[in-house]
Amino acid sequence: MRILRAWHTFTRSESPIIDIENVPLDWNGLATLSGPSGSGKTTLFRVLSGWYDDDRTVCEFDPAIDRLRQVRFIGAHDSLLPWLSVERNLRFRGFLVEGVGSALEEVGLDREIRSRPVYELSYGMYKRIELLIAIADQPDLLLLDEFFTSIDDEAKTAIRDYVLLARPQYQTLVIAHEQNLRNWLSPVSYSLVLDQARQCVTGIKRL
Amino acid sequence: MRNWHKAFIGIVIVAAIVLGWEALSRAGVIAPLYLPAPSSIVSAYRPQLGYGVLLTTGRAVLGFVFGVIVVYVAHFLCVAAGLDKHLDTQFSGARAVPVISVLPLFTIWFGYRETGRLVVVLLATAAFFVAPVHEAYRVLPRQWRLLQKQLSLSTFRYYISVVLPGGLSSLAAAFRIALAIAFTMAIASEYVGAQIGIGKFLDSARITFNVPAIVLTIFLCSIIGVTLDRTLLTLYRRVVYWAGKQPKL
Repeated sequence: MRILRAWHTFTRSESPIIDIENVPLDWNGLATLSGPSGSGKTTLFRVLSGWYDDDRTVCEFDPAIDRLRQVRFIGAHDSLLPWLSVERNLRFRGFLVEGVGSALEEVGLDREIRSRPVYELSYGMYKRIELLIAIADQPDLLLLDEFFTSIDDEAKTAIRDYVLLARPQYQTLVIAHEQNLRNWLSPVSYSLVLDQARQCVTGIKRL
Repeated sequence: MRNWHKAFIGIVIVAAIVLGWEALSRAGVIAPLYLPAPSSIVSAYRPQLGYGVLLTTGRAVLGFVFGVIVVYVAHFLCVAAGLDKHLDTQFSGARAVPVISVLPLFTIWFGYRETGRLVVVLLATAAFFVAPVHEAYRVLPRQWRLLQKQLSLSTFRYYISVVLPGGLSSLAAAFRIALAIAFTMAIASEYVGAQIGIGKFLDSARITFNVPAIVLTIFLCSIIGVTLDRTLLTLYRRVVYWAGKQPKL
């Protein structure tokens, strides 16, 4: 898969902050992405996942994909529905009742949390539920924005192993700032390419 | 112990104010036309006011409930028809027209029947509730708005499962204001042709210069208003239990 074109500007009068053409995404499994703070990593993920849908954004893949169904983005936003419990959130997203317990255990969570409201979950638990849902959709491209921060080492390992096991043939890209974390997650590492003024993302390069 | 102490002090202060007020009224210091004595206010009560309170409150609550339902149905139909982007202007226009100005028109259409009064309360509720509902829809988090296409939800399923509950957490104030307006319009609608109700009682008191009855009704309206508001808020917090609860992100 390659990104044919990704272009985005915050306001119509300003120059773009994402302007990428013809970038291959040539890995399987897990890869990491790094870049200076404020350089546009999260914005890039939003562009790729269909977050923006007006004339300030262009995004095309080759082969062409339905970004809303074949790209999933887990970021700092809360995507679970707060009026539903853990179990009902999973069922709303297509999980069968009998599969909820085992799905929770796959990401290292106790079955007992299924009846809890999602706003009572810790950060790590919340993100793991989101990950369960995202992976169950089997997207071609899974984007995780600083997913492994604020999670203990045991949970980090469980999540990494789960992603590797569940998605060996698909692509998962994780934004990670720390070098050690990037090395631990995957030998495949990318970084943003910025223009000379460091105002616009013009590509991503493999390190 | 401290709560009882505070309550006792509160009661003493209120009693002192009432007794002082009564004394000043009897001494002729306070003119009864502007502020009647507490004893005359209490003795202004009539059974028809009691029935009227129940009837007016019922009209207000019914009109409020129907008004809220009408708003959601109309809003859903606009969203389903793809007209939601053009709704702001229509809603602003609806609010600009004072609903009370249509009372004479409704009297012609419906006569002095209950239907006309209920429609007035319904319209007043809807006029003030529709804009907050639309705004709550407009500012739904982007990650929830994506769910319709991600899960291939029908517009109806998306509206019922995401839009309606998702917007509720920001509508507490809108519900409270709409209910207060419904109560006000229920009283106003009784000025024209009603046989019984708070509005009818007030109008009769006005004609007969019965100031104690008017002041009594004002006190009762404030008690009803507070009761309705507290009941609504209690119900809202029970139904919208997730309002104000933040995930630990």
